[in-house]
Amino acid sequence: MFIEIKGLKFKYKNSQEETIKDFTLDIKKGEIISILGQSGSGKSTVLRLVSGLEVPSSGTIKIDNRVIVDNNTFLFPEKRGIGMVFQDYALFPHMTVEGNIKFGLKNMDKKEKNKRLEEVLDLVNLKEFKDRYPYELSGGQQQRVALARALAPKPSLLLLDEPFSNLDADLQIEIREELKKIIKQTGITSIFVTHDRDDSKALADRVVILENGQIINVGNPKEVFG
Amino acid sequence: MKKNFTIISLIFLLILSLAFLSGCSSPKEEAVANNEKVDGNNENTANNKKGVVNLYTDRHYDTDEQLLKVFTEETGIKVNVVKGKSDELIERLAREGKDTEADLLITADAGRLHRAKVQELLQPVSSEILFNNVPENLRDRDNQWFGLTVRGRVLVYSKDRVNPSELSTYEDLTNSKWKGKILVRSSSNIYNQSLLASFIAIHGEEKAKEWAKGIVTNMAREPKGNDRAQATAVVAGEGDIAIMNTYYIGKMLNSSNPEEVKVAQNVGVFFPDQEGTGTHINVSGVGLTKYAKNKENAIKLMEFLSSEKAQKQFAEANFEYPANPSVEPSDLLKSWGEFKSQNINLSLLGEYNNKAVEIFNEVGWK
Amino acid sequence: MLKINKVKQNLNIWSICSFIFIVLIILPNLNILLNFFSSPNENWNHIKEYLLKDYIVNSLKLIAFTGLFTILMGTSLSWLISAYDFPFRAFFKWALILPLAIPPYIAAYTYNGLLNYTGVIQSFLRNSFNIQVNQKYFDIMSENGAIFIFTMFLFPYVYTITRSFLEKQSASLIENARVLGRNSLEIFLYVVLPVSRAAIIGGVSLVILEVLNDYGVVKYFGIPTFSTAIFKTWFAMGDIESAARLSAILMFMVFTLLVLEKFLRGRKKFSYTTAEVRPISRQKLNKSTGILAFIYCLVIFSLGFLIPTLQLVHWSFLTYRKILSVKFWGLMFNSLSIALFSAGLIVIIALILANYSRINENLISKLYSKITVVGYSIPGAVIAIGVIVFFVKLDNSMYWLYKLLNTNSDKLVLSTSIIMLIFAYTIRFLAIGYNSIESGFEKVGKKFFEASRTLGMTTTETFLKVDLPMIKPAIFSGFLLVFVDILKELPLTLILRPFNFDTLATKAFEYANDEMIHEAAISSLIIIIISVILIYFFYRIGDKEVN
Repeated sequence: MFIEIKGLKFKYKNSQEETIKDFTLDIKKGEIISILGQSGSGKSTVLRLVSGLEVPSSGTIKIDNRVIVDNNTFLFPEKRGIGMVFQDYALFPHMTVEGNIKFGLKNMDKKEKNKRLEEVLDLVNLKEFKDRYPYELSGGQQQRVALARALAPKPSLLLLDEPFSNLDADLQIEIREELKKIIKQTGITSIFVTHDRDDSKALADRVVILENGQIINVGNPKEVFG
Repeated sequence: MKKNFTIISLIFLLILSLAFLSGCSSPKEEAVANNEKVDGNNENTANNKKGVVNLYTDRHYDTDEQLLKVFTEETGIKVNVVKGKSDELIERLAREGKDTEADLLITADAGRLHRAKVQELLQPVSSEILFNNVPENLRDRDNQWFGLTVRGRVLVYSKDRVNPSELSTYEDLTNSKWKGKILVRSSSNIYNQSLLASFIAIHGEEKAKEWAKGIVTNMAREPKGNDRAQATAVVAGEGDIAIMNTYYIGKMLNSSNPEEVKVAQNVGVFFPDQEGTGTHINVSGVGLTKYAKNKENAIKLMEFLSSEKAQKQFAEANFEYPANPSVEPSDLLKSWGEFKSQNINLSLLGEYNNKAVEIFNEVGWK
Repeated sequence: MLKINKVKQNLNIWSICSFIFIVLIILPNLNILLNFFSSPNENWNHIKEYLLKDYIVNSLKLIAFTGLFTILMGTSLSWLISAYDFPFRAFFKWALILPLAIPPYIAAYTYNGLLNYTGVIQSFLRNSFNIQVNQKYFDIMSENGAIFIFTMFLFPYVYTITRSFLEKQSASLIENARVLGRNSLEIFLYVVLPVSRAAIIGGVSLVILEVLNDYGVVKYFGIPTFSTAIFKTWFAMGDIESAARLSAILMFMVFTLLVLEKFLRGRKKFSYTTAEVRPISRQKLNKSTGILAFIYCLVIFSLGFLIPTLQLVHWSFLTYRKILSVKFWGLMFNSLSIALFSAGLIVIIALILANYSRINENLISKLYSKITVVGYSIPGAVIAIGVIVFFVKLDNSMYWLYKLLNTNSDKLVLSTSIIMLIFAYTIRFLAIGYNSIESGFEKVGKKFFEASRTLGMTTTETFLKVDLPMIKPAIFSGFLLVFVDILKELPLTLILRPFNFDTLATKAFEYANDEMIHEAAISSLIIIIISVILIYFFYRIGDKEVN
């Protein structure tokens, strides 16, 4: 298996109950996983644990047989090679689109950086917006920049936190299709979190239904939604 | 571009601050460079390792600086000065202990010099020049400090409402005829503490307390303001008699505010207790610190300050009487006439200071 | 089991630096607290019997009345400025901050020089009309006078915080109330005051801390309060133990106040949320009420800024020939460079601490941010002594090192240098820089930090490339505030400065204390001018953020 998550547990400092209770999931390379749940189900927490923004109280995560978290190991987020698209995109307001995308391209020379920038801008179809600042873009454009930024360093795994919640309803379907196209085109393994089963149906290869920090159902959309 | 700006400004700040720090340490280096020159000139003064003397002082007169410059020109000894309030300087000396850099302490009150002595911050100096220049009652019994300038704590009265023939002694101020007429500043002021301490020394605790109580009863208003404010209040008609130091009248006469000059012109100066024990006097003085590193230079400076040459300027800077009896006071001071002063050793002012403070608190002198 | 991971996550250059800073802040203060555990001495009984009551009563009176008056003045002005249009409103909006540029001790001796018998008002009445006034009505050197001074020169704390809250937060509430047919007074009493409670309390608690820490005004006016008492027992009586005991009581008062503030403020924070910020649409006042509002603002502006400044300008003309010399430029250089350097250092330390504590939201980091506040609530004099003791000890234990570097080295290296003063400033003013930067971080939130981490940047890289540029306005504001405070600072500078080091503030205070008020004018005026300029920049930054 490409990604192995085993017995993941997590509790926030101030809460009584564990937010994540024994989360186990294997993911194949290139698979698109959707974690579906109500707010408070812990679905975003799973993403934060995988990306390294939170430290689990127990459990193991392996990517391509490399341990990123277990009882003795904790890899910092910057060492994991995981890309993440945040719910509100978190585009750096003081950088242009170009600056945002190049931000994650650390160990490249100038030429390589520019080449990669062109590639991802091509991918998200935003070539002419290179010099804009985030506030000069529409919501959908901002999301595509966030996606391009996350994909630019060629992560082994892409995490998307509620990718459609900040968009107008009539835009959602259009952008969903676009997103699917982009992800499929790059062939990247992805996990996205959503509360909308239509999103899961449209995008996911497999759906994980989370309730109160526990997986209650896993399967392809057809099986799960009947 | 924006992030570059931040980094550049941080670097700029760092460079600036380094420049600043090095700028601050330069006076010291200068001093060291200076004394090497001095060493070269007179190699026989082996102890004179550094051509400096470090001074903690409570005096802040521009004329002092000229005087110290003269000293440096004459001797090649550079004078470093830390100015501060006496109490703070003494506390700092105590804290620095035997590592202090200070060689001399100058304060504006004998009581404080005594406090420094009691805290074992000073050491005796045996110098014929100082013994000759400073009368015995103006220096410490163990020669740990020497008075440099003298001021009297006198009565200042309204020329309109008070006939100087009505005035006699400090004690007379407690007479009921002066009820609501007496102006004096707060008891937290050291000059009042030293005044009361002198009464304890001369008349004993009981009498002193009675006097303090009597003054509180006769006060024209709650004690407030400085000595100048008391003179002003006399002219403004709030009271008739103020207890204050002589030099403030001199300062007011030379004020940049013409109204203050008028005030000073409208009051008279009266030296009390001329028939009895004499007017209370106090000194500003100098002591050699116990752990002075530049002892010889320091004593040279003490001697210089007590010398005829320096005394006139040193005293006149603050409209005070020179401690050196062979130096004449300024014309203004001479115009007030000669006066008889309390004949007690001024060390006593320090010895009875705590008692005086307690009495003030007990009788409710704010 | 995963404790190791937690430790690993927490241990980095940030946590180590933060730990060192915190220890350095605590150590000097610890010295003072240790004194407290000794049994009371004779002096203390004397103090307790005759003086303590006065100290407590006076300090409480000053706090209570200054607090009350600054609330009345600050909130009424902020309401007027943010909700109404009247002549010169835009000018007053910013001019009413200016009293903050005048340190209360300068205001105190300026007002005394203005009002007393030889002052310009009384001499004018006397010389032109032959009117002798009753001194009672012109006497500012009293408790009431001190309350007046504190109110006039500290109310902008309440005014600015409340105003920016009202401008950012309350538009819809107030518009609703207007639509519901409430009149202005009702809106002010039942809507504005309750909703801005947290902002008002935040502002007034700053005022109270300033009052408790003040030394210059109460010393000059001769009012026995805690800060003068600490100075007196420590320096005049040479009694450290009793002074430490008094400091402890003062600290207890301060902490009670801080707890009370937290309690009163409740869970409300008064920084604006990410929700849309919309200014109130201002109502135009009709002619007569407009003029009334104008007069109200003008009177306060005159008393709090114009009059004392003009008086100082006048005195400067009388004395500039005597005062302005090469040495004077030296004073200015000293003042500016030490303020620049210390403020820079404080901002850097505050950045490190604030960054550490927002990344690690745990007990230790919360404790750290509490500790940064400690220095701001202890009087300068107390900090000064703690710092001296600490530095002399430090020098003693580092003597071998000095010897190694320079065989002729003196023993007291650090404690006779400017570093000691800068260190003390850092303890005293860290809270100001820290608060500003912390609120900058709060506004930005953590998401950019997290995004950067997932894009392969370490904490430090993220800090330099993302956090620093984003909170630049907050850094700049913090820097300006600290700079102004150091420029005005008195007790620490007086006690801790090295040989031959004078600043504008110490010179002004020396002159004033030597009863040479006119000679103090130029130094005071320069402090005020620089403060005005910096405060102007500070509020420009604030305004930019809103718009």
